[in-house]
Amino acid sequence: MWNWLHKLGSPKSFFAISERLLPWFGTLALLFLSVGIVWGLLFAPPDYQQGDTARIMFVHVPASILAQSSYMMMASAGVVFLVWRIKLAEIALQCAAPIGASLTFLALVTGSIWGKPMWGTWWVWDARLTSTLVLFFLFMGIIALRSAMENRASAGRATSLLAVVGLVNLPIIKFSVDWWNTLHQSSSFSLTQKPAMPIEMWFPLLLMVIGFYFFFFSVWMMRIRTEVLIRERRADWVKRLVLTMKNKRDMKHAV
Amino acid sequence: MQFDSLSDFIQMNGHGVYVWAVYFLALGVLLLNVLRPKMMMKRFYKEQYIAYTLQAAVSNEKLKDGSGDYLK
Repeated sequence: MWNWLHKLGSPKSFFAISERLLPWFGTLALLFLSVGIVWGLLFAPPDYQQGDTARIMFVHVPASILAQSSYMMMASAGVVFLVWRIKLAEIALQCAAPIGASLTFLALVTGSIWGKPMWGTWWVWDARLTSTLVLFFLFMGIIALRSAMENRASAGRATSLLAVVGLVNLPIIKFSVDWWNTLHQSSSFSLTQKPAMPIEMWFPLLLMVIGFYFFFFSVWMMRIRTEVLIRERRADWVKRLVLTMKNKRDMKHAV
Repeated sequence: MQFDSLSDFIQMNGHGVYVWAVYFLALGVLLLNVLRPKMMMKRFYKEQYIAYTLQAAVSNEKLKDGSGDYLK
């Protein structure tokens, strides 16, 4: 197990292993998301209070879950980098930030669009919304910090530290709906408790959440792979790969 | 199926604008997340091939007469 993990930590092995995993993750993401979207839009029943706006949930909830999960994974990569100095962990951290930022943005905007017909306003400075906005700024902060620092080693340490410190925000987001009296409804989606919504809504939502996870892992892997190539561009294996790709492109043009 | 006709489906009982805005936005965000790394990868292969060719040219020149150092 440790041996395997150690192998995965080397950029070259990661590149080889992810090449085999990526098509599977991509296909599964596409499958879960398409079934989930069709089910959510066409077959799930409208909510007895919210009507058809409840269909926004099939995008908003998975995006919000992934916004927080991706932060968690990014911060874990930060811990691994700070403790064991594994280069790949630092690459993983940098690559998770833009994806996490885009998913948090999606969660915020879809929530806002949902809020307009249901609450009568696009935005309130409510605990859940504000803490999610802070999450978005944390992701942006990590992107900005990375691009502001020339030295790769100190940028790695600084972004890892920021990611770890920002972890404090995650429980605040999660429990904001219980700690404060907020406009945002409390959580109604859970794997361990009896769902607070009809099973016809819960199941497509589950498919969407799984689909978003596969999607996140796919695009995360794609970004890490590119970054690995850029950093290892002086290595022989990358050189060979670039030449093979060039040959492949030429062959395609020749046909 | 929850809708009787296509126009019912598009209108979503008057909430169509909100629901469709969310779904199209999601599609856009997901697509960008896929296209961006694909583009970066493609650009890397192209630019790096040029860099290797240039490097090879430089080292060939150097072998001959020691010139070409200025290209480094």
